[in-house]
Amino acid sequence: MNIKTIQSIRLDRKLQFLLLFLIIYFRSEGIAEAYIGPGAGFAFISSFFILLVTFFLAIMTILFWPLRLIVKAFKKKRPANMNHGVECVVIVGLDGMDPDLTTQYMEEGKLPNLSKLSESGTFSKLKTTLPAMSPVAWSSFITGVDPSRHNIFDFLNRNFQTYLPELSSTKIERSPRTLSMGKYSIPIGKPKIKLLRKGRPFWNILSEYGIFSSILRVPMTFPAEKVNGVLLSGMCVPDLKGTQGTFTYYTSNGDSTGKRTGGVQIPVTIEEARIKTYIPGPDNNILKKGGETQIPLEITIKGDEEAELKISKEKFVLKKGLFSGWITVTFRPGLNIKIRGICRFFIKQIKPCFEMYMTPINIDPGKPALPISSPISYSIYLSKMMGSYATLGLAEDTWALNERVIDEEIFLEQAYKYHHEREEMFFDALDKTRKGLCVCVFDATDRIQHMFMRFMSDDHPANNDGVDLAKYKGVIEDLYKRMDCLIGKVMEKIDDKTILMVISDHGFKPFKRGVNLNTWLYRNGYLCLKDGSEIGGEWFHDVDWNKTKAYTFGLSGIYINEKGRESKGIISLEEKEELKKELISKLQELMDYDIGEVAIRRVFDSTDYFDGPYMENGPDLIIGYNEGYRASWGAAVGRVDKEIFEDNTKSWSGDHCIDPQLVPGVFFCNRKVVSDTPHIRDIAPTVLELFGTNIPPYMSGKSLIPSKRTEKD
Amino acid sequence: MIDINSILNFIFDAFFNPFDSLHPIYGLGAISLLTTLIVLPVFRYISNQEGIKRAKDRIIGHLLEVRLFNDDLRIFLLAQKNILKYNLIYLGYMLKPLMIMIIPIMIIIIQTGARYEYRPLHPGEAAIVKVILGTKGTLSEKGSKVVLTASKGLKLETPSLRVDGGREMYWRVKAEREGEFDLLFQVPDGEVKRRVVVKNKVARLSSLMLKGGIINSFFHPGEPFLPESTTIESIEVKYPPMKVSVFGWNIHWLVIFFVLTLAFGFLLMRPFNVRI
Repeated sequence: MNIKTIQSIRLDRKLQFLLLFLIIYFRSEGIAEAYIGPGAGFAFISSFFILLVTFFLAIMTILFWPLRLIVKAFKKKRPANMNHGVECVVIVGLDGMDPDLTTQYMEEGKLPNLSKLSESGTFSKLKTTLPAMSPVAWSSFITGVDPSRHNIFDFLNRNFQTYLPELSSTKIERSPRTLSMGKYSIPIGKPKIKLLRKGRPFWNILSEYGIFSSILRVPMTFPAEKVNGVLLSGMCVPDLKGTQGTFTYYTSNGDSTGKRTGGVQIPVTIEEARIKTYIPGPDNNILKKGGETQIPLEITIKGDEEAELKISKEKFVLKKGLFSGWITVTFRPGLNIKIRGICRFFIKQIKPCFEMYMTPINIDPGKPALPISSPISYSIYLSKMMGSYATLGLAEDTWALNERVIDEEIFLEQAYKYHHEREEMFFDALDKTRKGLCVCVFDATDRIQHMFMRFMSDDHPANNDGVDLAKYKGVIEDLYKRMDCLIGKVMEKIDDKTILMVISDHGFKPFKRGVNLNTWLYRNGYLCLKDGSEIGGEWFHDVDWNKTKAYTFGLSGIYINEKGRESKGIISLEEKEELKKELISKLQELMDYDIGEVAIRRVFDSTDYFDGPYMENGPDLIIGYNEGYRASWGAAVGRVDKEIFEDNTKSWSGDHCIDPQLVPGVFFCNRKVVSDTPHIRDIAPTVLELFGTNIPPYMSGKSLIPSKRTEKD
Repeated sequence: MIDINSILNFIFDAFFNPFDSLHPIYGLGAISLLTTLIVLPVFRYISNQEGIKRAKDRIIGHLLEVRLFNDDLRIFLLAQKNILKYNLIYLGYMLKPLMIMIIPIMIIIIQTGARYEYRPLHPGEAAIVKVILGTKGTLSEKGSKVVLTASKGLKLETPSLRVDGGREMYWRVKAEREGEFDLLFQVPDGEVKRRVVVKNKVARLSSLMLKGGIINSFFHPGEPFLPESTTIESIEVKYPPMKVSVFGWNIHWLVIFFVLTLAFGFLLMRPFNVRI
């Protein structure tokens, strides 16, 4: 048979098959043969159902449209003044964008879109909060008030009873009542998730006026509060374990140290090319004996380049050096309760030893275990439209890079992936918010500068003797260019009736030297250690509170061990003022004699700057470190180290927890503003003013674009 | 095809045999479960599972969009358009599995129908027997007769009734006792036998008996074929339709099959890791 004959026979058979199919299909009688099994059955039923729902929604919406408009018109407050002609305000937050670097790159012609914005409108430094930290500054942005009125002074706050740190943003309390059933202790009622940030977000004021808001990834918005619009929480959303991000590192390398800051290391052994291990999950709160929930993880090594991961029943193949997509993991603490999270895997090495990194387990946005959005369906909507996405507040895994579990390349890939996820959701929100407020905060600027600042200066102690200096020198410049492109895309999408603001909460400076003020306090007799110890463990492990006058933890505060406030306080209110003055005089212009530089520029007495109701929750003194300095890693976790000063050799090499005067943020606007020195607190009243709503008198910020009405007042 | 039919009959007879004397719901439950067990894994491998997930997610996403942005008519209308679009895409993903699955599912449905579409006669019950004669060289032209003789256990209650110019002939036969009996049709060019089942059980039946052919044999597996030489085109015994009583409701077997396969499909979807 020649080829043509074979082809014609094949064709003939295909035709026969088609003919047979058609005959069977068209000879079918009644409904009997129209049903093609459960697959098609489901498909047709669900399609029909969807059509029915769509039709029903269409009818209901059209019918109720006028009614809704009337009800809304009566319910909402009327704006006092709309003379700005503004229909939409778009605020792009670029966390940590530094005005000095921005100016430099603009002058070099590398940021054409921001330059255009600057020329046609405004570009200036944006004063930041005291202390200059993201949770503090963004809380002031949200509420228009200072930290003593919104209650956020740092990432952490101290417990007055135990002196142990607590998350400053959120408190999760288990239901006090439980039902005991065998080995289970079932909580009755939901856990209470309390937002500790006080003050009212300005978009809630807009809501009263019926103004729609899309709020994306703004820090300190977890748990998500109700808004007329949609809100997706940002920084401070925990991972599934309830932490601010705990990575997992699997290694068969017995030499690796077991301790990892910000993560857990799980040693594994390879037996016949197979690793049997587990994924650590959240604590089991329904078992009386407690413990950690786990999911079995089986890894089958397939050669030198890939491995097959089996999680529960799901299998997927992962190539070395490539990130997996988002993988859904379901923890089952018992009683058929399921807690769903998402994570990504990265195999660093297969031979000679196996090394795999797993991201912190993010709350699954498709089935959120905690209220990460408002309404709750918004996070689900986003996950259905764009697939799974990072929900963790600090999703870019800076700890993993700091611990060298991942390298710079992996970190950058991760950071930009999350950035693109946020861009996608932001542009979707922008498209949906033709009238109203649209805010989105992008974190990549902050995280990348934290980790790559060391490559900007040759003398940075974390520079690893210049290794990779050339390779990563341009990372921050590239980051700024990417942000410029983002702004360019936004500018293309907005019209004349839209106000665009590009802001950052603080700037950035290199972090070269760490200062352990606990050690300084100890050496100067303000902090006492038990049994003549010379160093103290984490979280004041060896501190003798009965003799301690002052202590520090976190990134910028000194706390007086005040009688009646702290459980073991020894300093009376009268003594406190004297002590503060004494500390200020000694610490101000504290010299780092090893380098010959001033480490502390200024020390701020909080009573001179704050007078709000939550002042007592904050530090008594706030340290304004000089450029290049910051609280040391030990001081941040309440340790007393041997030395006061130390080189910062961590990858986390840039910071902003210094004198706020040194790290203002940026402010771009496509309109001219009246102030040369805008403050981040001014944004909230400005937006309220632009929409013609009343600015609450408690707001300490001032509108940057006042209306004629306000000018007259 | 006859051989294939015999094999299929043998397999399905063996499958349904344990359920013969039971309420039909058991047999239908078993075949629905079997169908689901066959279809789900096959469906998983031949369908575009990722595409199905994407399309379904988009549909849900746009439905949520309607709810979330209900103040904006433009978004609402766009969402409606997209729901319809992804619904069509979703249905499109079903085409390939449908094309492939149609053959085995048809076989199952036809074989199940042969048992649950009609029930055998009960003793004392009567049924109409209908014969259609061929158009060429019909007996009516020649004035010949079709003589019907019933074997013991069946009783002919009426003489033949001819309609349509003598092409169609009708009789009524009554079942006298349980068993499988023959009706003998004598025509000038030979004799043809046709089985009549009188039972209180479920049995494989075909109401129609036709001449051979791939399609006919496929759709009517309960009876052998008529000889090619005979002038009889078809013999039909009008068995009573089977009424499957569920909670006092008489439901067509296919509805039960449909509901049960959906229910099993829904239950087994997760264990089989299939997206539908």
